[in-house]
Amino acid sequence: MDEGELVEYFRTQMSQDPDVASAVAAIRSLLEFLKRDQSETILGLRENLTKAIGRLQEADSSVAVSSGGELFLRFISLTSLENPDLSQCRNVMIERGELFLKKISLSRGKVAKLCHTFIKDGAKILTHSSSRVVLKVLESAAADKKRFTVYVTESQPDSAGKLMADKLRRLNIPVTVVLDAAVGYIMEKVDLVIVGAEGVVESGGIINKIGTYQMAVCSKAHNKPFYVVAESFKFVRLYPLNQQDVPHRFKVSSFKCASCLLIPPPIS
Amino acid sequence: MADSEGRGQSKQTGSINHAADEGDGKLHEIARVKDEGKDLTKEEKQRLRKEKKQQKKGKKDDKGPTEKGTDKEKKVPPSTASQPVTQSPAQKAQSAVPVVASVPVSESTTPTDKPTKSKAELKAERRARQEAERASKQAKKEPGSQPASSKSKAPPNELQPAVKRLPEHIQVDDPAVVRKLAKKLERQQIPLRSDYGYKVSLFSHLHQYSRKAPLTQQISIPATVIHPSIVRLGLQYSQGIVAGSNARSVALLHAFKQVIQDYSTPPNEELPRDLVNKLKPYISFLNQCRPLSASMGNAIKYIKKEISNIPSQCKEEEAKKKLLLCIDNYVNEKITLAAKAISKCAIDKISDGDVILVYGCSSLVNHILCEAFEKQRKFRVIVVDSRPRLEGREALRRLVKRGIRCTYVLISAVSYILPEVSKVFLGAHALLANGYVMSRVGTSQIALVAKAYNVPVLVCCETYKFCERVQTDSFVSNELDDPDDLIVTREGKTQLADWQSVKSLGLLNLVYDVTPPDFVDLVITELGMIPCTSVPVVLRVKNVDQ
Repeated sequence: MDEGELVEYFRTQMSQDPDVASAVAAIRSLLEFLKRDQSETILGLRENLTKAIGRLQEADSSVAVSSGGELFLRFISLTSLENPDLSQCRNVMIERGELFLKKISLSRGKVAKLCHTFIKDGAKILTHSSSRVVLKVLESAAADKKRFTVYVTESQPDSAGKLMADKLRRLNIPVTVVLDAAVGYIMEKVDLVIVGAEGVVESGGIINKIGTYQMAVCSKAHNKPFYVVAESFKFVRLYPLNQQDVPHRFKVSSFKCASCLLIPPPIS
Repeated sequence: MADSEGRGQSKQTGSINHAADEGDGKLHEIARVKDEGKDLTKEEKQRLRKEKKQQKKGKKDDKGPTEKGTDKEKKVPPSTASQPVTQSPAQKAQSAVPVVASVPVSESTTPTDKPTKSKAELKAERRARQEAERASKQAKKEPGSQPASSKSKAPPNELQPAVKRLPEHIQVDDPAVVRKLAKKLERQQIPLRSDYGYKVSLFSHLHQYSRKAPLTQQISIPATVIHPSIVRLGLQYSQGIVAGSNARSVALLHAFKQVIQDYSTPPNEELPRDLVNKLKPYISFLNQCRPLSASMGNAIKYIKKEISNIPSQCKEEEAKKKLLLCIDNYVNEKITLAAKAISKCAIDKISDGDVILVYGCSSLVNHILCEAFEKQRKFRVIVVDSRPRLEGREALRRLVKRGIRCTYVLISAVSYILPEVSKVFLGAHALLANGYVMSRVGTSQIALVAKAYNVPVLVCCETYKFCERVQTDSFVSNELDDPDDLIVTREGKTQLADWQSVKSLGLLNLVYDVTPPDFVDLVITELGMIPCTSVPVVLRVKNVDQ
């Protein structure tokens, strides 16, 4: 399987299931790559995998693909020490890869189960842009017969907030779309803030859609609880000291919002 | 409970000198006290303890001069009196976590000076004392088995993970503690250095020595107890010729290498035990010259562990070679290679166009900046300096020699210069277990001002400087330097020349301060980049490794 095929496979995965996390799709593609790999030695196999991860990162530069790829590599590379024989090693790797994939596919559900208890009856929630994890959390809270209202920021330039509002309306949750500039205005009304994350960095901070930092500073000023929901495969090996220290490729938008590829994203 | 057990041990060893009837008398007293009533008032308990102490002291003083007379040979043949007593500090040192500047004050009776004690503790103490009396009676019959049993008790103590023995703090204003220390030094034949000048009351619990009165003036020549390289090292420390955490540790290890090379096991002695005992007076001597740093404490702990791990059937030459190799590996791994790993990490954080602020002279930070400059990063450096040490000048010299563009300011100008700065790199003397950074005085000030200007603060520190102590302020444990350093002569006039005569004037020359973890953004160690709060995790991992 060469690199072009790999990227194709990845893209089909993403388009087939819009709900899947990009890291999960990346890991699925890497597993497929591993199955079809023809290398003769373990070192060759590992090199091929590293190159494949690099290629995927070029195709989709989001933090999640980078962290997912690294985790996949680490999860399976420990087997190479135990089994010196290549075919046995490959089988064990594939088995482990499948196990890993199964676990992380369930992670969103686990996060939702843990989080929905933070939403009390009558709560007013503020969220930013469109996050599938937050959607899942709100879904499970609604299924638990809780009554709450949601404020979503419009989140320009791609207006992802409007998509989020649509999805929430379909779940019969009362939702209001607010301007990005209205976060300071609305903060006193809300009870808590829940956002998703693209990546979680080593210092404990998060990388997310532009506008999240403002929301966090505002909520701190108003002493409102600020919750972040993220799956564990989003933890990335970065330690940024400030906004400038984040690598540039993580700041540009990922390919999944195809409409906004024409509009250059705001980079601070 | 290990605490009271340890105390009981040393009481047990200390009480070897006592006659059997003394022990009986105490038992009677304890029984009487128990009968009289369960609830003794605080004063009564204190009085009781004081009486017991006086009795003990009376007996010990009588035996003291006679002991000294027999101890003329400096080879220190292990008399039953000195060896078991030095055993108990050994136990404590082995089961103790890294000690900083309080190695000599690890005597057991310090805690008994505290007036308030829970009943359970008192009961445990009484029980321990009773067992001690019983054991001392047994020991009278078999003095040889005594040291063995006390040594065998040491490993079980270490295996108890629940209670960790923490070093007691320096308490110079407590006369009982000072007397204990003096006695210990007398036993080891090391002169006691006396304090100098008026001490500011907040810091009266710390030592304050004068550089003009080095300890070496008080020892006879040739020094027969202390190895000459240790004497030289002590002098270098006290005069400030060897300064800086890494430099001091490396110098210490080199001196110990010399000691080990010149060492020869006396007959009827085992190398591991005897060598550790030989090192104790050296460590006390160095501590008197200048209080030990956290890095030195860790190095000493490592050496002692290596020495005691030598199998007893190992031949002397082999053992010595092994120890020298161990020391070389330690220096190489923990200092030299760690510096390389840290600079590799740190260079990623230095981008082109950066303005980096450094404070004082940290060998590690200088190393990082020189490496970054060689890797063609474009940056400039602002060196901040402060009196009286003016160490920044040394850093300035080293950086300018490499060709790095530098600016030099005093610490009073730091809020003026900070808007220009993009990053602050600080070195550390030690990293404490609660995430606080102990470093040269002035560091916390710079970190505070940097935080106010939202400038990231990076601390670079090797893991061998991590210390299990916990400290939240700079008062409880610090070092006071010579107050005469603050006297400045300008245009032939010395304003503070006779500061001692002014009763209300005190000069304070602090050496270290602690920076809280909220002001530190990142700690770069050879294990990677960690937040300040991850220090206990690293310590835990290190302990598991060992």
